[in-house]
Amino acid sequence: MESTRRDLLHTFLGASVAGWSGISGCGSYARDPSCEGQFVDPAYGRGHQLQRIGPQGQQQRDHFLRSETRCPAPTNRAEYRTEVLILGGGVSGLSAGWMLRREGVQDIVVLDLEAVPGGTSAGVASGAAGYPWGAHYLPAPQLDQPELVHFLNDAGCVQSFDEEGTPNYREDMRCVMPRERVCLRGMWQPGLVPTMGVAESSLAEVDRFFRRVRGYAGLRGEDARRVFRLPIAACSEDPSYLALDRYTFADWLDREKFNDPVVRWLANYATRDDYGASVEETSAWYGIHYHAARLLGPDIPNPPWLTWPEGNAYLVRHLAAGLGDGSTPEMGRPRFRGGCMVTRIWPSVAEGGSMVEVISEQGVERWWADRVIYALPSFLKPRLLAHSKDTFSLDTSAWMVANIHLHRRPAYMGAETAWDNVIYGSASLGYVVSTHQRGPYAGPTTWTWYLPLVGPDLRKQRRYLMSLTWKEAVEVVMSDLEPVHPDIRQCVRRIDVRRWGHAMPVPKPGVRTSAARVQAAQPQGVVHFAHTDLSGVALFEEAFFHGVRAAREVLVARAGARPVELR
Amino acid sequence: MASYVLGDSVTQFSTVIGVYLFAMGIGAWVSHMIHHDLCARFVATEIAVALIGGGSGAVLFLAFPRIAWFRVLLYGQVFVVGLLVGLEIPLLMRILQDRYEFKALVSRVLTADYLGALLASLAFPLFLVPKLGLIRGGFVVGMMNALVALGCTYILKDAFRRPRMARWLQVQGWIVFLLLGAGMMGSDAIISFAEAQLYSEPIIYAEQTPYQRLVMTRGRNGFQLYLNGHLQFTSYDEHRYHEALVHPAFAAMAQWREPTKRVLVLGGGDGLAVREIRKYPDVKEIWLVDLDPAVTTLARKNAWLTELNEYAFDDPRLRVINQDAMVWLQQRHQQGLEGQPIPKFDVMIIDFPDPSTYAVGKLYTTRFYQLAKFALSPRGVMVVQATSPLYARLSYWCIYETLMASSLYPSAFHVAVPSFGEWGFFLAAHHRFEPPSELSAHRTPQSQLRYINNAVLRSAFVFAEDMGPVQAEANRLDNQVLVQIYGTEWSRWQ
Repeated sequence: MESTRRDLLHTFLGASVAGWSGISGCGSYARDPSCEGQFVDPAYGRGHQLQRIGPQGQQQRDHFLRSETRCPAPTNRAEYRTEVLILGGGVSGLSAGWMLRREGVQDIVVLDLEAVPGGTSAGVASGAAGYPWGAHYLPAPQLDQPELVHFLNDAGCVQSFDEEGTPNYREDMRCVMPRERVCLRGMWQPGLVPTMGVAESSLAEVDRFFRRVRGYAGLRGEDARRVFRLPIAACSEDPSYLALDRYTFADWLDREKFNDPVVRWLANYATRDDYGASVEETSAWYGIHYHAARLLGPDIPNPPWLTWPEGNAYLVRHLAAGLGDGSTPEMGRPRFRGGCMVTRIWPSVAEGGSMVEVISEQGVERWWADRVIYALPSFLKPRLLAHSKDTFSLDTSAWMVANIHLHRRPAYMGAETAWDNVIYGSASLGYVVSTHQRGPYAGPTTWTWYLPLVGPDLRKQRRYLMSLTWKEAVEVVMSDLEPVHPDIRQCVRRIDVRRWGHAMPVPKPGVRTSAARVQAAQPQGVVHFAHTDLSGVALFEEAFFHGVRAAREVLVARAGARPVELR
Repeated sequence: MASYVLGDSVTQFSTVIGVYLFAMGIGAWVSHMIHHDLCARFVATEIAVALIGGGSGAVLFLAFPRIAWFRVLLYGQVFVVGLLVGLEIPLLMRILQDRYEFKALVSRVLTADYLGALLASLAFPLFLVPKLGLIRGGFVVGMMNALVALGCTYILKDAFRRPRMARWLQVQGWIVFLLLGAGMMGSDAIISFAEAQLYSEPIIYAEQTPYQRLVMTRGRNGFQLYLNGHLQFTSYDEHRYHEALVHPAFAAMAQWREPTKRVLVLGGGDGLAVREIRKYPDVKEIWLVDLDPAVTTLARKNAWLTELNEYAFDDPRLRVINQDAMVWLQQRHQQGLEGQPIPKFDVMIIDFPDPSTYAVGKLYTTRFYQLAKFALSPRGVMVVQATSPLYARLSYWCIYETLMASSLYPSAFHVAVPSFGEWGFFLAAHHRFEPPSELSAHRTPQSQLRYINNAVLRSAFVFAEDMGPVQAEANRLDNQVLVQIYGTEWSRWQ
């Protein structure tokens, strides 16, 4: 199945690039990129080997384990014990570990499939030359998220606190001006929304849209809780607002008569950016949440955004550091253990604890733990957790992220290079500049380009993404950027591409009000659950919340009391 | 180019873009009125774009110093090209739709090709930061447009209602092509001619660096240095500026009975501030951090400059660092945090270009001053070039507010520099202080000051009513209000 360059670009970038691709020539197939680079994928393929094993097929699993570990029989298993075993070293798992360590729990082990912790907040930390591979900023939390503020203070992000305890975040970790620029018809202009070259009526509609969605900020439901806030678990359960979860954000835009193309683009950009889903897939509740949840009221200015050259990998580093300095003398082993694939979790075994079966580089391992925190995506639960009664699962979208290492900065028309550089009408989200806090004269830079693969058939998108060659992937990136930076091919030194097979859960209508979702967060035996998808979305704040919540459950149980229900 | 010749303010390009996109809209609307002979109209439009767009760079360059209504010409040209481009795309689509009804892809690609070429035809001459090949590039793109037009007359031959029309357009196309070709061959001559027209005095030196365009001119009253068209100094009155920049800081140190051993100059690659610093023999180290090596090399080698800066770069006490000042300060700060011994500076002279872009504006932020403060010795003083308190009053006091917000104690002063106008500075220290009233006596006996004496020093700290303090917001990295304020204020004087 030989795809032409046009098919390729059409699949990924849609009509937007088809209208533009002529600029880069009309070759029938991906050109030879003059730069070097490679795929830097997460351990996607390895995870998928598990898929071939049926959820309950013990025999098949044994066979798989044998082939995977090249052991004659899965009998010579290594056995380990720990008090708390955390499965998954993404933000939720690490947050749980951070909280437990803060409360003095010593005996913790975090297992992850990847060699380094971080999940989709991965990034390369290298001082000013770092760059992100996934999540790359955090809207600065205010006092309504005290735990998170506490953590950010630990991580050195807070300059000072004022008399009311409001954090003042460090200026050099904030996103600096110019923060955003948008390219319309080849010309860059300041801000996320194009204001030049669009009709007055569109600008009025954009204004109306912002007033409408921000009108929800600070609003309280019947139960006196805020309708939209973080964490989502603390939001109002007032049914009149939960009704927003019955239809899509696109439906909501229709109902509110937002038919203007600029508004539709903006709303869609926001949901693709934060949820990896288009307005057609996103629940209206979540669509509004993006705009309203971080504001205490409609007239309150947006909080600053915190960002680092390596993106949220900065926060991950501090969360991981909170686990301990790599190894604990008392246990004689590091608290984070990478390269481990969980294959089975038995929630309660005879001794009252839990047993987890893992394949590591050393072979098959059995981990015995008093408590287990499951911080893996929910869709794996039926495969991993024995006797799971859960029905909760979310579709996930795939993302392609490219790090474009430049030896000089490409030419452009219009507004100065910003942090976030958005191309109006593109299927991509544009790119962020890793060195933006240091300005344009700080030497070589890296641009991180993001493409969420949205659409009704996510599985097909994912398969197509995984079938790409590196050359084709580079062509997708270059075709998106060349119309706005005509000389980019001459500026590129290296392009590395990461394909996230399951980057984000898609918050479809019904997710917010799903009883199964709430149920899925309830402990099963000694297994506690902490993953951002329990909120329906992939947000740092939600991952952190669930990690801390699960850790609290463990702490309560550990103190001898029965697990109490926490928010 | 708009920002090159009119000054690179942040808002400058926006009006150009606005006009262009507006004109494109009108063009698209006008296309409704065209019903017949689409091909001929399209080719004619394309030829017009080639001619006007391709030559626009050269025309604007040549016109700028000559005509008072340059803006009218600039926007006129932008409007016309925008209109033609806006007209052309719908025409092309209609032509292709008739012709390739079942070949939507082909039509789309062709559209994109033309659209790209057309955009480029406007983009290259109008918007790219000036390079040596700017005008030539414009001609080349124009020639490509002419070729597209010519190609269309051949490819779409049978779409023309009258073959004669096609031939006539071909003749026109070739004429435009040759004209543009001639322009391209002669573009070097056009550039030097146009640039010479841009400056009131003859050019004696011009260089394009990766960061800026350096131009030196010389006339009866001495010579001038321009960076990106902004006057940096005129040799006949620069002593006023540089004496005001350096000596009040040394006066303050003398008044506090503090020794001045280590001095830092940020910006100021021309060496003129260093010349003034060298008048103090107690200074043991002078550090100069300037982004552009071309500037410091010029100041070290160019005979006019070395004479003016009194061979400052030959001073063994001077060390030159070519790096972004903020990045450099950040690195020192980091090294300091890591426990390395970082020598601090007794006097810091912060002399950057005016904050007309975000890239320069960051050098006037709380973050920058906090880093600078870290580099300043506990009893040291810094001086900050701070635009004009008269022409850009709010900008000046915004810098004051920014220094305050960085927990520094600023003291405002100003002097008159005829070629700049009324110019403002701040002294700033870790502690509150009274303005200095007496120049330092630690100068070498033979060093003369031509402008400042004790009376001028004292009067510099006195402000007239129309330059006095006004309320302003502090300039932070995440708001960069100063760049916007400065752009607005300065545009009144253009």
